[in-house]
Amino acid sequence: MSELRVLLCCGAGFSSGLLAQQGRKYAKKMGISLTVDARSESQVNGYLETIDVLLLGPHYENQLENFKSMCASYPIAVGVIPQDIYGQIDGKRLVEFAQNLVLSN
Amino acid sequence: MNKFMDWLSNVLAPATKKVFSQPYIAAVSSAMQKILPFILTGSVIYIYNVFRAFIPVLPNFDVIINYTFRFLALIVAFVVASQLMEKLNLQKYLVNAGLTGILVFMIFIVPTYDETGATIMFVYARFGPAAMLVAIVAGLMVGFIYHVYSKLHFLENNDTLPDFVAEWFNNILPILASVAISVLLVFKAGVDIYKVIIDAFMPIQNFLLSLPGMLTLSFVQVFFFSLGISPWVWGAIRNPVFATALAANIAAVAAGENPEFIVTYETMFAIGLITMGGQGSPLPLNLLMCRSKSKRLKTMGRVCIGPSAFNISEPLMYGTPVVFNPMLMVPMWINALLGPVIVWAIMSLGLLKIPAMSLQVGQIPAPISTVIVTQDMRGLLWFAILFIVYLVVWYPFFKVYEKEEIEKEAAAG
Repeated sequence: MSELRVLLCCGAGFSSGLLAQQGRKYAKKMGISLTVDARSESQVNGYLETIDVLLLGPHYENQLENFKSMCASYPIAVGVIPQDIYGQIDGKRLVEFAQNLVLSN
Repeated sequence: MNKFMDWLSNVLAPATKKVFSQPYIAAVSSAMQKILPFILTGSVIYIYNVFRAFIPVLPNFDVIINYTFRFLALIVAFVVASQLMEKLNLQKYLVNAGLTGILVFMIFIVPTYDETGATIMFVYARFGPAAMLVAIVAGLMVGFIYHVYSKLHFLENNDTLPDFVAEWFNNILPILASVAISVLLVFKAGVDIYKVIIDAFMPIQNFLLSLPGMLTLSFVQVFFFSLGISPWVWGAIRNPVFATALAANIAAVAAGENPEFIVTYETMFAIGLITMGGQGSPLPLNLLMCRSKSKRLKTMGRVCIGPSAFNISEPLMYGTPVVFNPMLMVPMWINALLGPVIVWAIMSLGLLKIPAMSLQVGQIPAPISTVIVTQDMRGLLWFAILFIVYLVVWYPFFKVYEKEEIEKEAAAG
């Protein structure tokens, strides 16, 4: 499988940025071919061509349908990061969550 | 309490989330994010000016503020219209709608011409942060026209016109409608639409800039954050008000007077006195967790303390959790009311300077940010006092919750 490109988003990309950093750290350690970046939800539109997975912060769950329709014509798996992964800034489970989301799509 | 919690999670939270996912509201909220880089470019100069106050030989770069922060509304007009296209899934009109937003905004701020028609004059302040609301209205109106136009499916699948002719119509008609409506309203009917919008919003603005308004604003954001709704979404309502108030403060200081308005982004967020560690001031809670006897809370506290120092509270909110945790929601609500009351009191009594510089960043650790933004060393003292106040509020609730957690851990062995 080629590299999996994951984009996280929240209000300004602050809190999701912390999680993205942990995700990158874990992927690097385990040698998983995967990139994780974080942006403000207002910037997501510019990345549709270059991502495989879009994950929203739990506090943006209400935007899920909007983002799903934005991504409708792209092969992008869209999901909401579970609260406990977000709260614990857990890079390992973030990566697993993203991988599972792709598999289940 | 259980019934109340059920109502919060099953009725109120979903209803609110639905409101904020409406494209017209979501567009304005996102637009407030998109304009941040332009605001922050101005902030760089404001911070630079703090140093310049001590080292007067440094050159004056205020002109950079004039062409970023003081042109904010122009940028907002573009961004609101284009964000609305994005939220409505009309990406093909994104740039055109944004540019039309700027044109309509230029009409909405009602320029005047000299007799020859060779010189056009704008009121400078009508480009600035105080005009943000007018720009939002202009952007939404243009977006709405594109929205309606796209629903007409005009000239789609026709068999009489070649595609490029149909495309000309499709690109021209929404622009024509937007500009024509604006021109008719402003130049033919003679409506000063700028004034109409500002006046219509004035009662809300006056309320939000008063102490009851400040409390409402603070409480509502924190209350809904405790239901898992990001405080960022309120930017659509609060930021135009904050921007107007701050612009007035900056103008007052420039004129050698005292700044008047307490309720600005800088007071509510940047100085870290009302949002100590984030909304609802959870920094003391986080420190209590770091010293907790519960293993889980201690681990969580250590994970979250770094982000909390920079007022990023989402990990703490979801990790502890505070969100939908009846034991920890209540102290957060109390803090959301206590903080503004105290800050209002000390600022109106002249015990702490009212901010008069643009620094729309909540992520500088307090009390560093407190001193930079207020330019008042007493900020250190007030930071310490408020920290103790918040700590006293968190403590009893935390202890009860901690006890439950320790018991759970003991039971799990």
